[in-house]
Amino acid sequence: MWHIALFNVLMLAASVYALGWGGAPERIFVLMSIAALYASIHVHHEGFRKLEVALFLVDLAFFCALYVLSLFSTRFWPIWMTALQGVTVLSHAVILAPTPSGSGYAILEQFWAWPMEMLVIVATFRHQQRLTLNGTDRPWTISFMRSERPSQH
Amino acid sequence: MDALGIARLTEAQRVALRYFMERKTAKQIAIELGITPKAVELRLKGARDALGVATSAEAARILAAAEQNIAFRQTLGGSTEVAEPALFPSPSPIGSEGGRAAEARDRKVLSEARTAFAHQPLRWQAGIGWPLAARGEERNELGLGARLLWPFLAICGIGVSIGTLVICGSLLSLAFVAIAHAVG
Repeated sequence: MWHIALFNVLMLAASVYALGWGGAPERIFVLMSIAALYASIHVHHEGFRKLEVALFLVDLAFFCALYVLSLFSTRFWPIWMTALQGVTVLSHAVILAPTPSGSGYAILEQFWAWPMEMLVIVATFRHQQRLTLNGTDRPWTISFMRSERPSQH
Repeated sequence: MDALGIARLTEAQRVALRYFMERKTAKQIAIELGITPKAVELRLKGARDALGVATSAEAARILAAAEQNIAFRQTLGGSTEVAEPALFPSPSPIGSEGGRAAEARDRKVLSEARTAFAHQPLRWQAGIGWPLAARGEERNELGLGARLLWPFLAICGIGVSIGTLVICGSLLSLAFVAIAHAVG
């Protein structure tokens, strides 16, 4: 189970880095991912022998939260984070295969958390780069209701 | 201190530095701008003083680095195009004013530059655009439609990529098995 320990170290490092040095969207992502991890540990598991309904619902809720974040963020990374979580949600479909593999299902369901943690580290690093270069970073949210379109200026 | 120095640069000084970055001499820059070489030297000296560096090459490098960030450039009034030659204002007399007054003015300039940078209006991209940061422009300015669509397009892209990898891997393993049988 070395890969679980390694992932825990990666997630801990990414969370500490993003919470300590990241901007608001990075921190929000970390809090959401911790909540999703907590929920996925505590929901009822089927041992990946059949569809993990509770885990699927947790993944779907996390996907929806990331989707909303990507709609209102002035960063690009939430779009890719949403896509990676979307693949995680879709990975539950492998259990519908004619000859489903429990281990394959488990690997596919958990694999995408790795690039997501790496992505938040990169996002935090870029945020710090902008702070160093410009002394500040732009607001991370946009409002579709605000008069920001060129035609309205 | 780069941001403060860049905020202090006049447009005329920036134009001179951009020409200098193109490895042009003061005489060549003067011909381009229709001013005297002495005026060019004054502009370069003013830029060096504003940025607190010893050489014009260093000043030009700092300006070029800052101008790679398009938003920062627009906020501070620069341009990638060569601007019309302007009358050269005297360099900021940093040392000639009282220390406190100069510091207060510097803080004000930097504060204004940073505020303008941070609250620059969003410019919406036409069309769907790419969900990637361009060099110098890191803000996501995709429209609502693109934001709604891109996560799903990316999911399709990732799915197709993984599917292709799996199929290629399977075909390769089948080929190896066939070769092993043929050899054995």
